[in-house]
Amino acid sequence: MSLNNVDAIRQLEYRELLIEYSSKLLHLLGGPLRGILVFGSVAKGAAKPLETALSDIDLIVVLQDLPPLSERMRMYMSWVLEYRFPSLIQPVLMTPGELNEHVKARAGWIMDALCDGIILYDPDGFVAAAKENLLRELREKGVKRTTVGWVWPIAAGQVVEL
Amino acid sequence: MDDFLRNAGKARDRLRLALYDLRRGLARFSEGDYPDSLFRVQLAVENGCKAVLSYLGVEYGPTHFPSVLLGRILSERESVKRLNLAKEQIEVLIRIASNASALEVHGAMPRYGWEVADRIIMPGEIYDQKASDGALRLGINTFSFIIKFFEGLQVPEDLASTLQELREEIKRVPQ
Repeated sequence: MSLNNVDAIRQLEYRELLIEYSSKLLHLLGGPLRGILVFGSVAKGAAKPLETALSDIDLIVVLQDLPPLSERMRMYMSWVLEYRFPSLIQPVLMTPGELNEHVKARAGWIMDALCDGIILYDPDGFVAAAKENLLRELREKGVKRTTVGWVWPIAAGQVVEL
Repeated sequence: MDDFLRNAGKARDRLRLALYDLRRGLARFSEGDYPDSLFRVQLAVENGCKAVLSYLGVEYGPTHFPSVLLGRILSERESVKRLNLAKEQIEVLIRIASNASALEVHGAMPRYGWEVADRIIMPGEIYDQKASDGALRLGINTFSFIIKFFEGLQVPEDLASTLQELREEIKRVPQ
């Protein structure tokens, strides 16, 4: 197993932290781990210095199977306690199906995450495919990214199929 | 005002904030508002950690992750030496940071819930009695260590009395 694109994390202190975290996660979860993607300020190289603890680290962690959300939080809390995962790392745990659903719903945060995010682990290319499909669709439909968010070329009142 | 009194004053005020939120967390729990209970406990522990940092003279920004700062201090030999921390104090601080980090990971979810493809999962659907009870226990445990940290240290009277209030509040929580 190896991590991908770690050099794309420009801030060295965050790169080191994420390598350590991802390795622990792989050791803990093994096969069911289908993807790790870092997004937000760390992916953009714009995080505040790690020593200030002012920037959290946004991650999407894709796992083959997951319990309901309430169980997930308890599960993650126990990992934090046992493996000393830093709380600064705020992973969104989701199944492949949930990632697809999020993409289908075109939530702004998931579009940002996939477009700007750095894929650190993707053994079967699932996350890369989701990203590629989304980017292609955005291009084909002429969706533009502006300072206030994603803008679809739809006239007021126009009915479209997503 | 000298540095010691200034730092102890900040620690006292952080603990007062913590006590306020801990009481609210306990009240919300008894009312059955579990997500808000968890949020209040999360906030109380955040301020508890900041009280320790303030006492140690550590300046911090508007972070929601003070456990990371505590962990960082403990991992740097120079900081441990400069702060003249004894082995027992280090062990107590490790427990504080470890417990607090498990509460910090909830982030904004107790307030905002979680947005999925077709709806927002409400905080009340995520945080049930069991989840909130677990967080409350963890919070109480963290405060026991925070009190332990201050025991044996020189503290001004007003900080000592705030610590005593905290001690009494914790005792009132059913086991």
